[in-house]
Amino acid sequence: MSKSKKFVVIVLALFISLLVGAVIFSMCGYSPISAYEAIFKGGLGNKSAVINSLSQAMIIAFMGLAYIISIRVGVCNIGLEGQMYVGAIVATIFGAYIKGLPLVIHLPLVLAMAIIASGLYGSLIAFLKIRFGANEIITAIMLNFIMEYFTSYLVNGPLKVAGTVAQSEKVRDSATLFYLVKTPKLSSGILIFAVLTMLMFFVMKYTKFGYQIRVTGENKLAAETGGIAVGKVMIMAVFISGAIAGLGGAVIVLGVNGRFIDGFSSGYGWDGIAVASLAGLSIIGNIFSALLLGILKAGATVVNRTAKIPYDFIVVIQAIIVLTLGCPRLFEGIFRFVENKIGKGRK
Amino acid sequence: MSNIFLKEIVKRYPGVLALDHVSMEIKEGEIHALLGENGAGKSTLMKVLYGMTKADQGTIEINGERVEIKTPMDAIDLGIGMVHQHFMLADAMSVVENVIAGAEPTYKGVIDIHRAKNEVSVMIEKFGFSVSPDALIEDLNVGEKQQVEILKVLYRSANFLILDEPTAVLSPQEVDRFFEVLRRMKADGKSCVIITHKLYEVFQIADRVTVMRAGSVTGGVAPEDMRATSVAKLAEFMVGKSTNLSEGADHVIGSQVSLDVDNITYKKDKRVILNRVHFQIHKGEILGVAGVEGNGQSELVQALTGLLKPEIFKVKLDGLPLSGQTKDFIRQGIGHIPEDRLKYAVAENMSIAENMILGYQDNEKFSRKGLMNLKNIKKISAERIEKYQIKAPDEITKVSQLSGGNQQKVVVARVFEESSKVLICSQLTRGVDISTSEYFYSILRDFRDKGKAILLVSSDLQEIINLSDTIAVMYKGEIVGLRKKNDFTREELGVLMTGGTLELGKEDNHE
Amino acid sequence: MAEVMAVIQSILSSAIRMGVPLALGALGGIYSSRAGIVAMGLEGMMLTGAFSATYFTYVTNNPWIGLLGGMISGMLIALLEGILIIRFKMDQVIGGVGINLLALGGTNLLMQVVWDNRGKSPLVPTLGKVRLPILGNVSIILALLIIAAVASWVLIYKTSWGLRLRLIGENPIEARSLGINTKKIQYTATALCGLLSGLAGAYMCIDQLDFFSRNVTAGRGYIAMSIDILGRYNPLGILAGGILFGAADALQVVLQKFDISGQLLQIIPYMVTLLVIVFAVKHVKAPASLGKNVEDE
Repeated sequence: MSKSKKFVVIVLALFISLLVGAVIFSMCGYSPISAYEAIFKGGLGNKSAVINSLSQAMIIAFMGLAYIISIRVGVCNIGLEGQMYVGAIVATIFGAYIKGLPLVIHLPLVLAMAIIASGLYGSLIAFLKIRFGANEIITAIMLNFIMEYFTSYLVNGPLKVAGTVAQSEKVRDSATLFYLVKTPKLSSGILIFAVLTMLMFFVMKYTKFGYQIRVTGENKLAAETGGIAVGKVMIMAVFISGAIAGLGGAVIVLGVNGRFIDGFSSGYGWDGIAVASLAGLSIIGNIFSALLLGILKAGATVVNRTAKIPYDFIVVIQAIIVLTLGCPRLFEGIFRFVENKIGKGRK
Repeated sequence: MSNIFLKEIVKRYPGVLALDHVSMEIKEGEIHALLGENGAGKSTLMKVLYGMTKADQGTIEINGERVEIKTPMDAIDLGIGMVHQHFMLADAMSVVENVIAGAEPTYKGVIDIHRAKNEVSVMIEKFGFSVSPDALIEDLNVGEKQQVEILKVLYRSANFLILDEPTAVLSPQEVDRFFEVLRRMKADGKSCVIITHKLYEVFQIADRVTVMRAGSVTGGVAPEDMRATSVAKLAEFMVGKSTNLSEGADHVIGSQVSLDVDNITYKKDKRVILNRVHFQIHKGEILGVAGVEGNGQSELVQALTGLLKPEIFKVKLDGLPLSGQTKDFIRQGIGHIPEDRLKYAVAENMSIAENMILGYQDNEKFSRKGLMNLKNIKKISAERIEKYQIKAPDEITKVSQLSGGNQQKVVVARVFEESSKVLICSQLTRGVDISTSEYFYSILRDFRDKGKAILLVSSDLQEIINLSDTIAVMYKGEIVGLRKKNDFTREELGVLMTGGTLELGKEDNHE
Repeated sequence: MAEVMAVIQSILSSAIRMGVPLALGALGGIYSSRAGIVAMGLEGMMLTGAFSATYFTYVTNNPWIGLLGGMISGMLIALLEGILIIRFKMDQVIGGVGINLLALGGTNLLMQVVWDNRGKSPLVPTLGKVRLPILGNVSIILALLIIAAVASWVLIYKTSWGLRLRLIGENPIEARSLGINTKKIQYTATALCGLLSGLAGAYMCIDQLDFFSRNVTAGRGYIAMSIDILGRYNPLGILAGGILFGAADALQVVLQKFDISGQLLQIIPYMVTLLVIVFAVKHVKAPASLGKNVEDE
């Protein structure tokens, strides 16, 4: 599909999702217009709301970027949630429980550990498939659950800080990402994301490795005929994908919450798939779709508190986005219809 | 009892007349061979009969009555069955299950498996098959799998069986068994049409032959005349009259050997796909490999480009042994134009520029230390678009938006410009219009004149004849003939391509 | 001795109780898989069934109506996924992900709308029980499960429809060439998958438990997928698989008495699934065309 067609499809998908959302709103007794208005107000209404939206968007954007790298090489990484948890818990352990290191050493060390651990966790799925023939969908999802519950165990048990809330010790100052804005909190993790996005954009467009990833994803056979070692390329790309998701998790711990809080994830791993699809798998587009979803999510959280509009409307809208963007053929019928009409009109 | 008459069938595809008023009669109880090269139209004709393709003109009559065959189901209802060249079988299921699916004998909704097994066993016995009803398809060898395909057709009470290249994948013993089955079916009053390119089989088993070439029937031999017909006669029907093959100016081949293939042998599932292939290509020589597709040409090309690792691979390039991965082969100067460009040569959703460097991304002018030199890539792509007259607005246009000929131009441009020593082209002009084809021929000759060695694989015999300095004929994975072009006649090529042997006299230079 | 018997009886009945929804989901998954469609949406179908059953029971005060509602809603959402995959060639994994997300968001949403509670529904009446020797009081659904499994075995292996279903899963192009209406059979299989997994979810909330809670299925749909592989896509095989994984599920309840952390125990079913998938199913062949969307002619 041409670029312009793709863009139209994305806009249409978004429109359809919001429309379905509106239908559901009215079926549940809310006025769609005021509901959407309230959500956008909740996300953009004042400075505080905007900061919250940006903070949400930042996390989602990490996941979207992770998914994009993987899907561009041809692998559907549904283990993002688990890889994120790995990054988060490793960052917690190295960040909260190692003392006496200066910031310049501590912070990079923590980030490096988180990246390597989560990258390996992602590659584990590929390894299990290659070595044991294990179904990669099931292993990915099981690894998600395992890491979710294991980290929950850790912060309810061995790593639990005194008090009623299930959370870890606070991360040391020497491992904390400074805040761009203090209240409400906006982490400098967003700078990390910005740098990472530029880096990934650069790699995909300007490096030989990026070229190899793209060709492998577009036509594996042609890549092989062109001498590209597709197996190696795929494993490396999946490692990077896992590492980025883990970095996102680390940023949440080191920069947003300051510690590992049980249940901190509202399904960010799955958000990644939605925003990546909405961005048309474009690294730059990811920024915008993540912003949109961040605004919607932040706004939905607000109206859930204030106007009693259930937060999960946003989840439903997300699901519709994933479903409609998942079958481009849905729109082919519409395109053909329109093209026929235009053709007839011209005559 | 019954016969089939195809009358004046016409079938047009965009740009080509696939069937040009073709008529063919299939009588009851006969084995009828439909002979011809690739692209002659034999498969198309049979697809019309089987309802897989709709003819533009012409009629089909069974027993003098006109019939309409719109889908394979119609054909099956009329007693016509087709056994395809590529088997369609479910490996994990049994012979019986594959045979009866869609036509199961049932009793109140439940399959009457005893009746099914019985019926299948009776057929197995009657026609001399060797499979057992309960065997799983995945445990069968190729010959047995073909038996299952034939059983499928017989189970639906076919009286006319169309078999598409049935012996293409069979070993000699399996072929003998297959012929026995055919004879028994004939004794049972059934007729078989065998689409084939193998002359010796025609003589072994066929009662009647129809020969096609380029969409027309060029000749036919009635049963009573079969014995008197010679191989040469049939070959002439197939490939045309004897003409002097020395088209094109006399070209003196260099004396230095560029690509020295001493032995390539490749086996797969106990079948020999490449059998001690050996030839040499000199600098400044075009070696054309003639042969019907499926005789090992694809595997030979894959072996010579590092995509396939045969059991024996003794090949030297400029005196040094050739080994390694595909990218090593490319780096050492071997260029490859694949036979199916959309599948193996281009990523169609990527730009011309990005496809222009595919295979050569390690090259210094395109990337250094892992960074792509986008400026240079753009410049060089634009230059090549100009030079090769690729019809596209710019180098960032997606390859999917180009016509087939222009897509091939991208592949040709990149491979011709980057290959320093050897060029391996497979089906160079497939799906390419005539003027572009002519253009490719001229740059191919220029390339040769600059001292490169070229291996030209094509199922288009005329193309091989036009371009080659030396011609090798490949049949069943072996080089069965290798001579300078002028030392071959057209019929000789036809004979060799179809498995025949030439009289003693002229020697082949395998050196 | 009697003590040991009591413990065994307790574990067995727990295993069966917890294994029923897994086995039902897996049974549904067999139909989908054998039609060549990855049963990725099982989780969403089960969750939908669970919610609908609770809702309809709540509204009518009759768990049998709830059961019916659960099954039908499971079927409807399965058909939605089916249309997207079969007609519009949606990628099967993404389709499942989308459906599961839709079910998760949708059920949470409706839960809040209907009961004004983000976590849990009010208690509802449940289906009755039947008393059996050795096993004690068991649900009627268990009987339904066994009947369904046996009936499925007959349907899949002994009837025309079943043969054609299996052929579509192995080689849909061959099926088409033999005149079989592949799409129709795939839709039917999808509907059956939805019915059974809807039943599985319904059982969880109006039999095993007596309420619906957020994400009550907690990944059981994916575990059911593993049971399919372990059970070799055979309706009788999944019964055994159901007990095995039900035991794993029950184990965590039993072990809680021993003062081991709850979250650590909750890992058990997923870890068992992972180990089974990695080590125990190496030579199980899935239907050959599973996961592939075949082009229309």
